[in-house]
Amino acid sequence: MHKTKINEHLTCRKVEEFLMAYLDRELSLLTRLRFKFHLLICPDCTNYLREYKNAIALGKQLFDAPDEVATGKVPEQILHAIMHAGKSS
Amino acid sequence: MSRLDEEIELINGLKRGDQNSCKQLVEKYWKELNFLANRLLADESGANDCVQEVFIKAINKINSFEGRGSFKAWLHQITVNEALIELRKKSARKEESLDEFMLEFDETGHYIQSYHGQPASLDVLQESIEVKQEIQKSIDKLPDNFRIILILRDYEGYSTKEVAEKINLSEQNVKVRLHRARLAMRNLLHPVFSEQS
Repeated sequence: MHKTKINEHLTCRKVEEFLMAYLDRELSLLTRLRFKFHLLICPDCTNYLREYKNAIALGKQLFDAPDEVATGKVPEQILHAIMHAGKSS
Repeated sequence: MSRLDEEIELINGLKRGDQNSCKQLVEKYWKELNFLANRLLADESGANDCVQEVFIKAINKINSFEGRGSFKAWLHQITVNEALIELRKKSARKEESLDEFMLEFDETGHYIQSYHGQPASLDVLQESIEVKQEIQKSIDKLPDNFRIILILRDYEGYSTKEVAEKINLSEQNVKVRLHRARLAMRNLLHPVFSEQS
């Protein structure tokens, strides 16, 4: 559990450090409140968090359906090698 | 016949040694396994060799596939294992850093450069091929020891514990690297994320 000192004010650096713990709900209640308060007053960190989450979601989506960027056909010699190895096994 | 039934037919055909079933399965899964191997290895020709080996292993072990999970997941698992073997073969893997992809802070702990532009919505980004290509390029830029963790944990659905076991690191170390890799991805993708609006 990530904790902060009683009178600690979160900086952007700390918010960046705590991002993953925040999303995984691993911050102590007090630190979570401070994190949220920082987001309220800091548009840079709000935008950063949004893009951090988008990067994760879009990467996952790409791996689930790579069709638009993946190379299509099996090279002929590789297909041949696989089929040949399959035959001899 | 449903797609699933067709696939079961092909798997049964492969178990009987039917060449046509084998060819159809290779053609069906080539593209996505090649994409996965390419990202894991960040090396196109290495990915071709890796996927060739994956299919040969899958054919040889097809009788051990009992159909409890999906065939696709089984192939993905073999691909991950094969790619990790390839990466371990790379001599003297040096510890590389992600510092060049990190943002800088001033002495008070605030960003030196403020956010520029307006962040695009997820819906808009999802439709963009350019974004997909940039994600692919950004993943390939990450050093091996961060890229693998990001792919396995965030995109292939492995738990932190499973990743830690696969690559012989502590769970805490996996978490730290995953966070750094995610930050690097956000920072690399920021230009295309904010241009889309």
